[in-house]
Amino acid sequence: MLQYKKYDMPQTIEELFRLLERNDGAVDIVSGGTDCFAREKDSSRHPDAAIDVSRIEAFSRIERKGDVLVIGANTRIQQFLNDQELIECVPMLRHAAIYFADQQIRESATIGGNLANASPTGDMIPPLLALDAVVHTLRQEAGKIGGRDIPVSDFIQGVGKTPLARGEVIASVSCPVLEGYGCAFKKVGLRRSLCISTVNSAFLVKVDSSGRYFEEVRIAFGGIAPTPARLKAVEEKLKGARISKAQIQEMADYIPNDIVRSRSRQEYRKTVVRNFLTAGLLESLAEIGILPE
Amino acid sequence: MSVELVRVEMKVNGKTVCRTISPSMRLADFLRDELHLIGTKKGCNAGECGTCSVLIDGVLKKSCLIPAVKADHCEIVTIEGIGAEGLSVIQRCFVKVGAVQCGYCTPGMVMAATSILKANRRPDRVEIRRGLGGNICRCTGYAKIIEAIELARDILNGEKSADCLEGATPDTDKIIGSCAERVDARGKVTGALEYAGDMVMPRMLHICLVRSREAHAEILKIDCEKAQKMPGVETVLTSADVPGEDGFGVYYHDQPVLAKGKVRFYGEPVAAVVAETLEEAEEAAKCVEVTYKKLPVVSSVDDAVQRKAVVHEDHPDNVVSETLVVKGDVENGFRGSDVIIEQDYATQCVEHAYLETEAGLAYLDPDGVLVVKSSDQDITHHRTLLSKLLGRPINKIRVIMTPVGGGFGGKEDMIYQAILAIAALKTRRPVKLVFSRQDSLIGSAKRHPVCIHHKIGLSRDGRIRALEITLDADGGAYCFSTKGTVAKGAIMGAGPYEIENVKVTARGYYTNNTPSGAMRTFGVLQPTFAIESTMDICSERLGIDPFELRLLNGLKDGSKTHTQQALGHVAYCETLRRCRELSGWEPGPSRMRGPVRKDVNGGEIVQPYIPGCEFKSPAALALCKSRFRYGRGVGTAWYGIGRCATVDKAGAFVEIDDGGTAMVLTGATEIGEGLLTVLTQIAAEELGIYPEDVTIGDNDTARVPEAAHAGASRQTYMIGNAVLNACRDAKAKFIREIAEYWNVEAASIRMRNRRIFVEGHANYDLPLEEAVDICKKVRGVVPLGSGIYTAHHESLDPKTGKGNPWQAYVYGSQVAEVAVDTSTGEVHVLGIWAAHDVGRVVNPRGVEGQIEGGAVQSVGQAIMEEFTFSEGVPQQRSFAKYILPTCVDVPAFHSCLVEDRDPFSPLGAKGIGEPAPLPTVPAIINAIYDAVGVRVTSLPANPEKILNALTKQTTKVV
Repeated sequence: MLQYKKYDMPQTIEELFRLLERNDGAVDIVSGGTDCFAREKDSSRHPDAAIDVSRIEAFSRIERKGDVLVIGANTRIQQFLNDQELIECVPMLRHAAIYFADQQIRESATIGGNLANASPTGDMIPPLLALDAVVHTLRQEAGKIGGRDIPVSDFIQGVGKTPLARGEVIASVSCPVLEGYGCAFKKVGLRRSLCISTVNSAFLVKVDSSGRYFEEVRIAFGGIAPTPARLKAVEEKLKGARISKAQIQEMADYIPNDIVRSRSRQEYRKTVVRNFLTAGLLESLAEIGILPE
Repeated sequence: MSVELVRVEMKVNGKTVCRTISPSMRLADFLRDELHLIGTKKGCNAGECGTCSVLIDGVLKKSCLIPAVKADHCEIVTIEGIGAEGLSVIQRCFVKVGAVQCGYCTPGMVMAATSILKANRRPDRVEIRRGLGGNICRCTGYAKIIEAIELARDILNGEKSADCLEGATPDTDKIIGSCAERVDARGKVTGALEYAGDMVMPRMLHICLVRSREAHAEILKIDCEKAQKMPGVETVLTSADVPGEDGFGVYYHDQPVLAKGKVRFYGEPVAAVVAETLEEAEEAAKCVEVTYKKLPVVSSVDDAVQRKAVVHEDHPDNVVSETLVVKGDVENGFRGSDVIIEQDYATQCVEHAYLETEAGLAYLDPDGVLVVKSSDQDITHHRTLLSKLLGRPINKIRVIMTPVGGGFGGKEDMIYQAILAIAALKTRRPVKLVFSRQDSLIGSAKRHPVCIHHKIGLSRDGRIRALEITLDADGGAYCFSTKGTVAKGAIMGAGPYEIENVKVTARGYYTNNTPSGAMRTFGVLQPTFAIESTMDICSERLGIDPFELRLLNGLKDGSKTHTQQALGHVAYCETLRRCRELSGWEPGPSRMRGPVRKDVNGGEIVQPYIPGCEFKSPAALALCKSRFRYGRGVGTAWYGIGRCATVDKAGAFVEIDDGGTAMVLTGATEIGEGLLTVLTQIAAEELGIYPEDVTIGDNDTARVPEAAHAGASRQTYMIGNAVLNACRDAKAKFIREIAEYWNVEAASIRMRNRRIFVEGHANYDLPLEEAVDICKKVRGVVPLGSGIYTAHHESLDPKTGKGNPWQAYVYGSQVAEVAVDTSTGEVHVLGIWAAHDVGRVVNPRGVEGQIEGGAVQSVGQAIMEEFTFSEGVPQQRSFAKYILPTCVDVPAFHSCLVEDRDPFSPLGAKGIGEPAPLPTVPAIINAIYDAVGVRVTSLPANPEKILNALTKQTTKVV
């Protein structure tokens, strides 16, 4: 959607807020722009100005702070596949990133952009939900730059809907550095590259020291409702449960009946959710060397 | 807010450029419009096709997704910056292995290949496929592109010598049958070739079409007044501006140039705004006000049959045409059958999805001749139509074909050329029109959605006793090629079998959907899917191996076709046997043998693509793989070569030229298949010279003789023979002069390896170059020849279809192997083994390219592609919604070519373009059944249909 009359590329946060102030907030805030610029010309809804934050270095940093990795909003999806620190600290995001669009799009598209889009099928959302990631925003109020920390689960509120206020931007997202978890990402669409998800899902599994019981399980599904969400009912059921194939297969019974709220392909999506649940749990366990009987 | 222009500075291909531009300009447009680096293409303008891929600071990105301002101070490398000093190794490998067809994706592919090999010196096949995952190719099926990159990798790593890129010079007697390099490859791998959309002319105006937003409505008023007054607007055209007799089409002239009185489909052009810039034309187009009165929408064949509304007043029953084929007595045949099977099938609407959208220019030349240049598959027909529409003498219209970036039948229809012509005549300035991807999707013809019913009777030993078929095709709002596709579907729809009792009733209907037209296979793909699925069902029911069942019933030497044509030699069974052998087929009837077959998951397939396979743990990967069920299926087909049931013709001129070269002039329509290379090879071999000695003429109605359209897999057959005959004519005249000069018998003279000589007489042996000098300067004769080729096809009896619709038929058989993911219903097509009769192979690599590209189009048709409507409104208006196979979705190919020469023509070659994709769809569908026991009868076999069926395995038919 390129009808901008003005396109700014601030280098600093201060400059960004000066520009936002001047535009009274009526702007598209873009980073990679792969979603925004892909839309055909559409005169119906379109701010005249865009502010491109991709050159703000402060949004591009990746910083380890104790048990948390703070990932700058400008971090490109491809970095989750190439950057050693990201691979080691948040392997979950690497598992998801490889399914994201194609390599060329991954070189532009950012984690911040995927969050801001709040698409029901955004491929980075379920893993961030599973990670209990927190979105850090910045905004200027009464001349002072401040921010909010919003859990991803509160951040995605509907199709394209986030709690971001006018003039508020995503600065970073922080993810816990989890030790000993196995993870998996499952996705299906109509093909296997450059593909919009019909269903996507992320799994994180930790087992106890004996290796026989689930210690913690986190499951998130996207593509089946206006907002991606955790599957808490199953997570609870599995906590402390004995690890077995039978146990895992039984979990399909605990999937809420109304889990699929998309209007199309309901029956299909329901089956995929059941199948992904089993597959994702088994694959997560396999990643930490556990192959249940 | 006023536009704030921005000054940008970039280093493009090593040179610093500064421009002041609008912030709304995309990088792709900056490169193309500001710098005229037209090697960067625009296939979708939405990041979905990769034709605009460039390197930005060393990283491959799609330049249509990037505002030019965002690339300020970046270093850009475009295709023009690759191999600036001669072709790069990658480009040479693309040329060498035949990775180039229409060429429109090629610059992006070369950029992607460059990026892959830059990031990793030794990428494996999985990495290469993934690296190309954002670049769509609609022609090649990707196989040769992957091969080119692997070859380049090995050469760059020193594992193979670059010597293998040098073309070996064969004896000129062996040029036909050799892998001669494509004559147009260089311009395509360098991005230098200009397609219509790349062309600019001084004082050129731009057109934006106002398209209908109703599927069926009466036009009460078109108000152009406001638009006329908008800045930059030169004129606004409506149907009132058509100077001649309005109405065009392939079979019926039922479509007005611009909607007249009513609109019949969503997206039908209603008015055309002509302005100084495209932006001004687009702005003004928004101000054209059309007042409609809605009419009931005929949204399906059912609606058409029930006459929910009448689409065309002169066809009150909504029937476009009907074709009957009757042989024997089916009722009698059913009575004598042991087994009777009935089955319904449905196929979806499919888009050609050539990467170059429709584009053209028109202008008046200084002599007052109207010139129309466009991406076109049928210039002769279009000139005739334009003459009628414009009311101008035919020789005052000149139609020139620009390079076609993929056609597949979709550019046969003259859907915008008349608008260009009228705009040029009215404004007396050059005009240009380029379709956006959305224009192309909603405004061009599609492959017919078809419903088919089969009733087949067999005896216990597998003999087909009777076959009754009804076929109903949704022709959409205008006829386009419906009459022809319905006829060809009827004639060929009962398959390559000899059956005593056959009855086919095929009808095409008018609806308010996007018009259906010609698309590669011209109506035969749909019934082939049906008959080959039915054969698979019969194989299971009777417990007979599918190859054996087909060998039993297949057409043989002297067989009579369904139209009661007596055939000569028939290679069908040969393709079956070769395919069976090539694939290592495990014999047995078609009953979900996948789980126990020994011939699946062997070394000849690609592994299903699992993203992240390189870092998933082996145990997790094993779990992923454990969900695959493998299976194999057979599909076969036959196809008539050339125009159906009507005389077909082509002509050519040849001049044996100075320097011992040759000029070949013919209206050949190169749409990416490699025809110019084929014709060059034919001329070179016949004249005893090399392909590089041949200059081949362009497709221009004012400069070359008629050779008719690109379609019906006719060009090698028709034009190849015309060129051969023209070469023979020129050669005979030339030899006669030299014979008289030498005072020898003309019959003793040979031409070979750029020499002319009498065998065994050193005194009578001259370089061709000198002989041409003698012919011209001593004998005073310019050695010219002309040639035609005529194929005598008969029209068929309207009640029984009896007659000889073609003189040449080809046959093909394929085995497909698939893996079905039982957790998602996804189908991975892993291998295709293809045996095709092509008559005679002119260029083996070109034929393979047709098989691979055709088969991959059918992979799309079989499992993913679908163009759908809601009350006539198209639902897929971008490549984000209309899904095409990418490089990670395609199988490994193994082809073998059967050469059963055509006895009627001197060349002996037949055709391959359309036959190639035919067997693939049923082969895949039958393989899915073999793998998981799900019989898909309604295309596409998408994950949803398969998984839903798997969950209730008792009802297997979906």
